[in-house]
Parts: sequence; C-alpha cells; structure tokens
Amino acid sequence: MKNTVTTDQDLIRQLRGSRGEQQRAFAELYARHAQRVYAYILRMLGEQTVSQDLLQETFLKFYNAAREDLVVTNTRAFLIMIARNLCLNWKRDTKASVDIDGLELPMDDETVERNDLSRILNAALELLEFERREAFVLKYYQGYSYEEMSRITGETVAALRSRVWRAKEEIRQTLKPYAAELGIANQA
Amino acid sequence: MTSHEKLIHDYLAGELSPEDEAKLFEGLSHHPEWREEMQLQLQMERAMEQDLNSVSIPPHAASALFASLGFRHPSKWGLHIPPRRSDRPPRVSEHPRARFVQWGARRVMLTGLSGMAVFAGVGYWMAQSASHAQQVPDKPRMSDHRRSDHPVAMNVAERASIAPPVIRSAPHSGVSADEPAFISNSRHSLDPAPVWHELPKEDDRSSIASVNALEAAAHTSAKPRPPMSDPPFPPNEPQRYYDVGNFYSTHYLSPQKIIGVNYHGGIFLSNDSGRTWVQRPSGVTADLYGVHFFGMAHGIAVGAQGTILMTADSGWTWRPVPSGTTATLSTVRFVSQDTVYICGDAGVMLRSTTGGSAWKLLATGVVGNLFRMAFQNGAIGDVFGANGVHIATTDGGQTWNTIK
Repeated sequence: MKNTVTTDQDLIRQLRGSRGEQQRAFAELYARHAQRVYAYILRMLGEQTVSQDLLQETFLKFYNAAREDLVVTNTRAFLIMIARNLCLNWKRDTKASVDIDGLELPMDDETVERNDLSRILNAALELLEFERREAFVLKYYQGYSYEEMSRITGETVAALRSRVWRAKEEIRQTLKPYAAELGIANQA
Repeated sequence: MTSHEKLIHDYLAGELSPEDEAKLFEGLSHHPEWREEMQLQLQMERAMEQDLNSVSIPPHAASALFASLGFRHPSKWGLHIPPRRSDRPPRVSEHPRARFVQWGARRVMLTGLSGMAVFAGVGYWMAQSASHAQQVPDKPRMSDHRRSDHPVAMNVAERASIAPPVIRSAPHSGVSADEPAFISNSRHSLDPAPVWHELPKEDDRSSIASVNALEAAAHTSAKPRPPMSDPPFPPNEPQRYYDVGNFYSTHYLSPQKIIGVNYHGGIFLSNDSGRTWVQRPSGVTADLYGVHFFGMAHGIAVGAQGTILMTADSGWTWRPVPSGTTATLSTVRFVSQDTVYICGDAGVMLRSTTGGSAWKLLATGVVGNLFRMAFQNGAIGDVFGANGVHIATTDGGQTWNTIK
C-alpha cells in the first residue's frame, strides 16, 4: 500500500468536488494554514475580535476563489495576500491609533501566560507604523524571503529590507529600557 | 558606516558579506557591548518564536467559519491546529554558518552565532567528555541540507545544545578562567589561515555563557502543549479503512484511541478500538517501526533511514526531526516529557532532553542491532538487542555497561 501526502493543489481541486470532498479538503487546508494566517492578522492589527472576523473572511474569500478554477501555486502566500487586503481595508476604514501610554501592559487573554519579553515585544510591534510592522511580521512571523515578501506586497526588495531593519531598530529601542530587568543585557 | 547592531542583524539574516563578517567577529571578540547586542537580538528572535507559537485561534472563531460554509467543524473532532514548525523561520541554532572556537587547548567548531552562544558550554562539555568526543569521528551526521556543508559544526553544536550542564555559567571545572579563549570566523577545519581573536577573561565569558543559557533554555523550557483532553480523531471521517495491514508498532492513547505505524510511512489512527482506521500523512516513505507518546498529545514515530517524526496533536499532523543518523531506528520511549530515548540498528542509541526536537547520538560500543529499552528514569535504563546483547546505563547514556 502506498501512502501519499495530499498537496494543497490537490485539496484545492477537491474544493470543486462533492460536498464531502469539499469539507475534508477545506478542513485540511484550514489546519495547514489558519494559524499562520491568524498570526499575521493578529500581529498586524493587534485586535483579537477583528482578527478573528478577518480570518473568517479570508478563508471565505479563499474558498470562493478556489471554487472558480483558480490556480494557486502558493496557498499560504495567497491567503496572506487576501488577509493583507482585508487588513488594509480595515485600517483605512477605522484609522486605528495606538496609545503609547498603553505600552506597559497591553494585556489581553492570550498574553497572560506569555513571558514578559514576548509581551513587551508585542507591544513594541503595535507601535510600529503599518508598513514596517507588515515587513517585520512577514519576515519574522511568516518566515518569507524578501523576494516572496515583494510578491505579496508589491514593494521592492530594497524597500522591504530597509523596513525590516527599521522595524527591528525601533523594537530594539523599545526593549532596551527593559533589557536589564529581563536579564538580556546590562542597561547602557 | 554600518553599526554593529546592523551587522548582527544582517548576520542573523544570513546576509552579511565575508568582509563584514570578519569585522563582526573581530568586534565580538573585543567589545562586550557587541555581545550584549547579540544577546538582545537572539532574545528577540526567541521571543518572536514564542509569540508565534502562542497564537491560537479560539474554537468559536473556527466554528463560525465552518458553520457559514455549512461544514462540520474540526473542533467537533477536538482538532488542535498547532503552528507548523517546519515552516517557521529557522532558529538561530539552525543557522547555516559555522565557526571554530578554541577553548584552552581544545579546538572546537561551532555553528554560527548559536555556536558562539553555546561556546562556554561546549568547553565544559568537551572537558567532561573529551575522550568520548575524540571517539566520535568528524563525519556528517546531520541530513539537514542547511547544515550539510558544516557537518562537524552540527555535531558539536548539537551535542552542546542538549548537554544539561551548559546552562550554568562559565567557567566550569576543567576549564580554567585563566586559559586564553579565542573565537574565529573560519569556516572550515582545513582553513589554512584562520583568523583567531582572543576573548577577554572570565567576566566576559560569563556574558557568553548567559547567551548559552538562553539557547539551552529554549531547548529545555516547557513547549506549548495543546490542551488535549480528547484525541482529535474524527468520529465520522468518510475515508476509513477496515484493513490497513499489519502494524509494526502501536500506541494506545485510550482503550478506543489507537495510533499504529507501518510500512511506507504509514500512520493510522483509530477511534473505535481498531475496528476502523483513518490515515494521516507522515510526509515520509520510510517504513516506520516504533511509536510512543507522552500524554495524549505529544508523540514520536521512528523508522528506517534514521526517520524521526514528531506530533503535538495526538497524531493528526507530523513533522520530521533530524536524527543525525541513517541507521534504522526500531523503538522510541518517552521517559519524561523532555527525555526520550531511541534505539536502532548498528548499536545506535539516541537521547533527547528536549522532548524530541534535538537528538544526541550516544556511544554504546555495540555493533549489533538494538531492539528494546526499559528505562527507570532519565538516567537508569537497560537496552536489549540481537544475539542476546544487554547493555545498561546509570548516567543517561554517557557510559554503558555490558551485562551480556
């Protein structure tokens, strides 16, 4: 008996099949990609409820697109692109701002059990402007190469490189006052 | 002029030119603040990884999505969707660069910055097991392509990263603080003219040791464990098999819920005491000979060609883990959540102190095949093999006594 791993492309084809096939394929695609897509949205927007809504919308759009003979070579990147557009729309519509005073303890349910560094890092992330935050999240949370990031965002590799470094620089500056407290290094 | 922060950033991203790399390592050898910056950036990467792993989708959110499509939601199966670790950015300890470090009279090759991070620990480890280290030939052991051009580096770094004593601060017994220590960015043991930079003495080494502790802690700290009260086997999965052939190994999560492994990478789950089975993709074609779980969620399967697979969701998804050997692996046993042993052909014994994510090859002195293990705890155990071979250890596999 030969066992084979079902590829994303196979699963997407099954989304055009019977109801049972669709359900199985969709569940598998969701299992493979939802966590990463959710992490992207959550770290981009910083709002759990909105992120959950946009995750749902992302997968609905993906499902509808995949049902229409769409050829997807990189499912994760395709999902991220959908999520990115939804995030941009949401930002445009809400023009959300970040309260710097809230940096100390931006606690939410999921941060309660994380260590301090993660918590502060997350807060620092929320202080970044959208473009830098996106570059940083795509690089460090999604693990994309600059070329892949360029395909997703439409920005040049050079611009993305610069944004990632600037984002990291800003986060470093945010973390520095906490460095000694967190046991990272002697405070300069 | 490029700041040292940017040099370190580019180095961690694998994008530093050889010239700048030389400059970076020279700076690291002279400036404590450069090493502190290194720690900071390493910590940031670690925190990002933790942060990513901590993100989980609330069940109600997934339910709403599936309901909107008229689908039954996997949460009905109890399916936990963990991050796919193989897709994440590589850990610093997986960095493809290699380095040498001279500690006293010992010359050790390390892997990039993680090598530097574990450098103090390596000195200690080498001091403690110098004879063992000399017995282990410098030949490739890691199949990971990213490490293939620096196989020896992974040898040492892997050993160092899983040696518990490295967590403590340097200097340790056997490694004098007065001995000169050097660091070099030489990439190869045959490098005709490696450039060595002397490191400061004890106080500065301790800063490296703290980086080391950081690295080690990443391996020993509690991994995110999905709250699994019930294994996620779908009760009404349409594609069910009634005859899946023979299993080489099975593990019962409960009287009803069974995981079996067999040939050609076959992994099957049953929710009804073995009456019917569903197959899960293993991602490998090697025959699988052993499977064992710690608790309900975390399991390891092993098999031919040094195959090691891990799951964190009761067998629903599996990811490969480098074993460092191509020998057939027969049996795997969790002794605790973090300590795991594997035995296999040609006297191969592997030990993990990180729950299975990193493995150390133990020198058993046995050439025959090993089949079965019985461990009382992480240190004391017996292993049995072909031709009546029986070996025992009382120190976690560092040394083995031949009983028969």
